Amino acid sequence: MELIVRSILVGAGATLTMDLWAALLRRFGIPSLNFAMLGRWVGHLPRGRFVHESIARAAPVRGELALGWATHYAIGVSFAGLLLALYGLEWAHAPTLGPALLVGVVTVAAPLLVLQPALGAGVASRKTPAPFFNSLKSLATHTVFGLGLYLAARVTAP
Amino acid sequence: MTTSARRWRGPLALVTLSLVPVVAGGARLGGLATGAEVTPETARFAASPLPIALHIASATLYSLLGAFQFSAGLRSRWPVWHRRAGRVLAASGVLAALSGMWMAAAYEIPAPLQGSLLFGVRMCVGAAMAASIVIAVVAILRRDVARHEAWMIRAYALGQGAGTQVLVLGPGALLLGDVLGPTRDLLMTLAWAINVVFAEYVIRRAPAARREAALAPAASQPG
Repeated sequence: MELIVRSILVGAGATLTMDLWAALLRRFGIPSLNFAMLGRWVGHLPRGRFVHESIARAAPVRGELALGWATHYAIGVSFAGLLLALYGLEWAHAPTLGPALLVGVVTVAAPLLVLQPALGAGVASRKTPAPFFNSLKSLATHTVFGLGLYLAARVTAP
Repeated sequence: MTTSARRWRGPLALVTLSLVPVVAGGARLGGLATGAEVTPETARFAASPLPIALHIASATLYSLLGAFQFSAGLRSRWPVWHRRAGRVLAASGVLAALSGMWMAAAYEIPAPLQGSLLFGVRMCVGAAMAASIVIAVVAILRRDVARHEAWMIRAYALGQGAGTQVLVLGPGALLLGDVLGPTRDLLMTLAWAINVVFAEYVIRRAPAARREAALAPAASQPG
């Protein structure tokens, strides 16, 4: 039970940190993922559609923005769960930066290898005009997520 | 840099990346052949040497010989060599992938050296590598060169995991201390992810590079 509660607390805190980072980037004119597109992708999953040519051209799904935000936070919580499953609750009781950053960096594989191709951007954004920049941005965002995992665990540690 | 030197740059970089795993594999095989002292870390190899011997031999052949398959110069000057070496490489690549999966599943690997995450990733990588080679072979039998090239690059990138793992585990040890248990699992996974992403960049650049190569001789001819 404690594992689930801590996964939610740490994951939500880390995802919030990532959202603050994305908001900061937007202030400098660097766009981030539109969560309505994530929600649209999830909305199409029950219809058996996993990969899209372009998610922007796919049929809209009712409540896609809310669904996208919920998915975004659910993914963050599941990655925190991965961290706690790997390093145990001992880590949550006395968090260290290394494992959190490592999980943050490694989980960049999820957007690069799963989400981006599924949304139609190709593996590591290779179908976009600036794949290297976009991949680097994903890596930076996930590094911030890793930092967020550490900070959230520190704040919520017993 | 001359055109000839540029042609060899890619294969030489891949051979260099292979060196540490190849040397380490050779040392492991040598130890098994000469009956070197069995330690808790090597007990599984001594008890069942066939999978590790097959894996080292096939992976060594695949990584070293495979590096030269990516040289456009070699392919165009010696197409027969490329085809014959390709047959050997396809077989050795599938053998390396399957023996890797066999070892991950059958050997009693101590938990600090392989947790559930690494076991799962090794299974996925092995299956993906074998599948990539099969897709590439089917593609070339249908004369679909671009598809063959793309899937061979993916298969080679997965097969080169050990080379990148050396590059990742070294700095990882410096930054994080002991790289055992989940930290090792994550770093090993990261190395394969880096290779997959790099492979996609290479595949994306390949058509442009081919166009440039095709234009280069014509452009350099005196008017």
